[in-house]
This record gives sequence, C-alpha cells and structure tokens, in this order.
Amino acid sequence: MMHNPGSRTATFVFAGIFLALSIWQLAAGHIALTVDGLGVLTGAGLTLALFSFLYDDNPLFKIAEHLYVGVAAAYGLALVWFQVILADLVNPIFFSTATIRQLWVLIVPSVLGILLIMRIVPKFSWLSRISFSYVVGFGAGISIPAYIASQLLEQVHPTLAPALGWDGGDKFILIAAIVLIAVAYLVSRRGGGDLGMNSWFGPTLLSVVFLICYFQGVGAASLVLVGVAAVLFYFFFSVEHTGAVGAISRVGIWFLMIAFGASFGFTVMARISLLIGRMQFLLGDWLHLLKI
Amino acid sequence: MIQKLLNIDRRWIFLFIFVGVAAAMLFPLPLPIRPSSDVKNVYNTIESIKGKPNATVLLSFDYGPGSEPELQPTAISIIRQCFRNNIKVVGMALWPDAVGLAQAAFDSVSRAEGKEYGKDWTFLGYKTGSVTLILNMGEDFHGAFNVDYRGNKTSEMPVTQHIAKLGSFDYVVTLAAGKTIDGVWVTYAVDRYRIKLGGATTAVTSPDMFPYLQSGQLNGLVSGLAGAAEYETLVRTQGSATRGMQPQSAAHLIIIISIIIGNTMYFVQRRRDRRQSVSGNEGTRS
Repeated sequence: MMHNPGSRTATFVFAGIFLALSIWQLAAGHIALTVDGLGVLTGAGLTLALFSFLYDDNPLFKIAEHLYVGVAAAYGLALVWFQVILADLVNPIFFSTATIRQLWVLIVPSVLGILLIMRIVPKFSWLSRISFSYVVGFGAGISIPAYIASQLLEQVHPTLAPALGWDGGDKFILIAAIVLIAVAYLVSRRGGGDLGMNSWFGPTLLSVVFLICYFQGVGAASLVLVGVAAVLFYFFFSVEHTGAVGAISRVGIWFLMIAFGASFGFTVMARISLLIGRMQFLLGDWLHLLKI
Repeated sequence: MIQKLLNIDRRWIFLFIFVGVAAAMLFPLPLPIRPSSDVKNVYNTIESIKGKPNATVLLSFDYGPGSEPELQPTAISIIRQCFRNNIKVVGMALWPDAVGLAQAAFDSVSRAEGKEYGKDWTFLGYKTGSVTLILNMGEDFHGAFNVDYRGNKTSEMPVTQHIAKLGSFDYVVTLAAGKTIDGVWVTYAVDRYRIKLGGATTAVTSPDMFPYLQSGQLNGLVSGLAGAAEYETLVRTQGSATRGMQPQSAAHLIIIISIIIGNTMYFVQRRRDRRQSVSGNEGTRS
C-alpha cells in the first residue's frame, strides 16, 4: 500500500498534522496528560486517521478501521456477557434461591440456545434444527399478524382518507390526478430521450404541485393517494405500459424520482451532521478554538 | 476549462466542504430556527403530562456512537425538559453501544438539574431480544427488567415501582438510528399495547418514518440534527445541535453551488458537442 504515492502522502501529512497540533496543545497546557486528556488525543488521532482515507487509502486508515471493528466487537461481547448472560442466566440459575419450577423459563431457552450452537459440530448439527424450527415458528406467529396490522391495515386508512372525502381533499385529488396524467400523456407523445422532457419536466411539475400543497396547507394527503396509485401502476407489469396505463405509470416514475431525491437529500444532511459532530470535537475538545 | 471542471478531483470538493464547515464554526452567523409541527408534537406531549402524579416518560436509546451528533442533543433536550417539569424519566437501550451514550446524557443533565437517581430517573441498561423484550414489557415491566443497570430492584425504586407494564408510561420516546421505530416499537408496542409513541431519528431514516406520522402511529418526530436544533430552541438551550446548524447550512450551500456549477457545465458541454457533431455532418455532406 505504501508504494502508492497518494497513500504515502496521506500517511505522512495526517500523522504530521496530528503530532504537530497535539504537541502544541500539550505545550500550551490546554490538554493535560491525564486519562481524559489521553482520551481526547486518541479520539483526535483516530478521527484524523479515518479522515485520511478521503485523500487516499493508507495504513493509518487501516489501523483505525480495524481498531474500530475490534473495539466495537469486544465492547458488545463484554456488555452482553455481564448484562445479559451473567445477570439474566448464570446468576439466577446458579446463585439464586429460585426453585426448579421457577427456572424452567430460563432452562428451556438456554437448552435451545446451546442446540443452536451445535451447528458448528458436524456430527450433532441436526440438533440445531429443533431451535431453528422454534425460532421460525415463533417469528412467523408473532410477526405476520403484527406486520399485516401495523404496516398494511393501519396505513390503508390514512391513504384512502382523501378519496373517501374524510379530509375534504376529494376535489383536489381529482384535479391533481387528471392534470398529472394528462401532462404525462402529452409528454410521452412528444417523446424525448434520457435527458428529454420525460426526465426533468414531470418531476419538476410534481415538485411545484407539492410546494403549492405545502404552502397552501391542502391536498398533501390527496397527493399521497395519487402517488401510491401511480407507483402501483408502474410496478404492475401484466399490462403493457402504453396509452393511459403508460401515462399513469409515468406519473408513478415521477413520484419515485421525488422520493429518491428526498431520501438522497436527507442522506446528505445526515452525513454532513456526522462531519459536524467530528469537527466540533476536533476544533472544540482537541484544539480549543470554539467558544462554547 | 469546462472539461477541467467536469473532471475535477473529488478531493477538492471534500476540501471545500471542510473549509466551509470549519469557517462556519469559527465565525458563526446566527440563523433563525423555527420548530416544525412534528417536533412541537413531541415537546407538547411532554408538556401536557407535567403536574400529573407520577408522570413518567420512557426513553429508549436505540443508536450508537455513529449517530451521536444527530441523536444525543435530542436525548439531552428531552431529559432536560422532563427534569425541569418534574417528570420522571426511565432510560433503556435496545442497542448495546447506546449504554455509554445514555449514561453520559443522564449524568450531565441530572447533575445540572439536581435530580436524584432512583427517585427522579433510572437507567435500565441494555437487554437483547428487541421484539420479545417489548412484548415482555407490555405484559410485565418488572419481569422484563427485574433490576436496573446498577443492580437495584425496579419494583423497589420510587421511579419505577408504580410502572406495571409498558402502558403505564405516560409517553414513550425512541431515539433510533436503525429500524427499531417501525420494526419494533410501532409494530409491537403501539398497535398491540396502544401506547403513545414519539420518535427521534437520524436524517437518513426520517423519510421512512413519515407514513407513520400520517397514520398517527407516531405522534411526533425529531429528524436529525435539524430536528435536534428545533428541540433545543423549544427547550431554550443552545446545545451542540443549534451550534451545528450554521455549518450545516454552509455545507448545504456549497453542495447546492457545486450541483448548479456541475449541471451548467454539463449542459454547456453537451450543447457544444451537439454543435460540433452537426457541423461535422455538414462538412461530410459538402
């Protein structure tokens, strides 16, 4: 890796920056050589090591990456050992006054858990099927009704509300649907390549409609219904997507593009937030340049 | 020039973002923060239970250090609001790496607000099993969490002795980085035990949560750093989220400018290529 000039540059530049600024902070007395101070220095060093990947892949980044994975795994294991296995299993079974009758609720799942681990012993691997069948059966029994109720039925009511006139948006939905499908039909008749009107005109129009709804405070629920119907049309492949069906499915594509755009925007915002968190640490806790 | 800009090394973009964020942090320019209705819903629900005897809020810490900048300020603000209104707070974690973050949030705010462990707040720690844990809590809270993180019996602590099951909490707020809001809390707690649930998520997962707001399964949502800054505004504290909004805006501005420049260059180049191909064709014909 160090044969790569970019890798060498990243290693030396980021290590140099870390050493120079840390020595400056220690000399200025902003950071003391205590547990807290060493924690800040370690955090700053590892943050810079991970940032160094933005320049090029390098050994500093690899060290920090492996350290992160190792520490996270060790922390998780220690926590589960002390807070789950010892606290909820070993101590009640071996160091409590509970009777066997009270301990069945711990013993049966423990045996199922041990059978699950038997998978690593080829001779007894068949025993793990008992545990797997329990897990699958329990999971299906608990999850399927819960998911149908929560993710499907509970969502149907608010989606259909405007169509049934429950929120007074029934007129808006009709107008919005007719306008969008008519425009989609006209656009598809005019044609256009990858970067023609198909790509940018529809989503732009839809965005304008969304903005009007937002500022007027009406019709957002109706638009959701139009979007759900149009997207379902787009994913319905049993009918050829031409004519009216083609126009509706095109409106579905526009909704999907806006949804992906919104998701992307939120993702960018989240990633920048993480950068800001690290920058606040570097400029504040490490370099003491921020006034808090 | 256009070709150079179209093929610019991405490291320059990283540098622009870095400089923009650092400059906005070092020379802050205060921007107005207006709380959205989804954030206000969480705040108002907590305000509405103040004065109620034994009012208790359950906070579930379902995130790790990777989401700390977005979710920790919200956790701190909610705990602060509860303590200021004498509302009891019970913390728990569905993610193992949330334990340290939850403890840090509780320790700093309880010290500042003068609240007592065991009487005003407690932290139950991490338990495995997400779904089965919620189902257990829904039936028998003390059975699911026999002891807290420090080993005290939950049936004997003043903060939890009146809690019989999940429905005994006046409000539940989950601070989640992954799929625990919709995959666990909404599906198994809200619809089965009819609890009132508020959420705080990272910006990445926010769009997936909007359908639950519309259906009322979530009564409010604090989305990412922006939501956290809005919550800090409501609680009237200037925390790391509020301070982070100026660099956030600066970074967004740089990204928007980059998108505009990139698209402009792309269309200019495309027009130029088309003209060249048309003149090339005419030359061939003549």
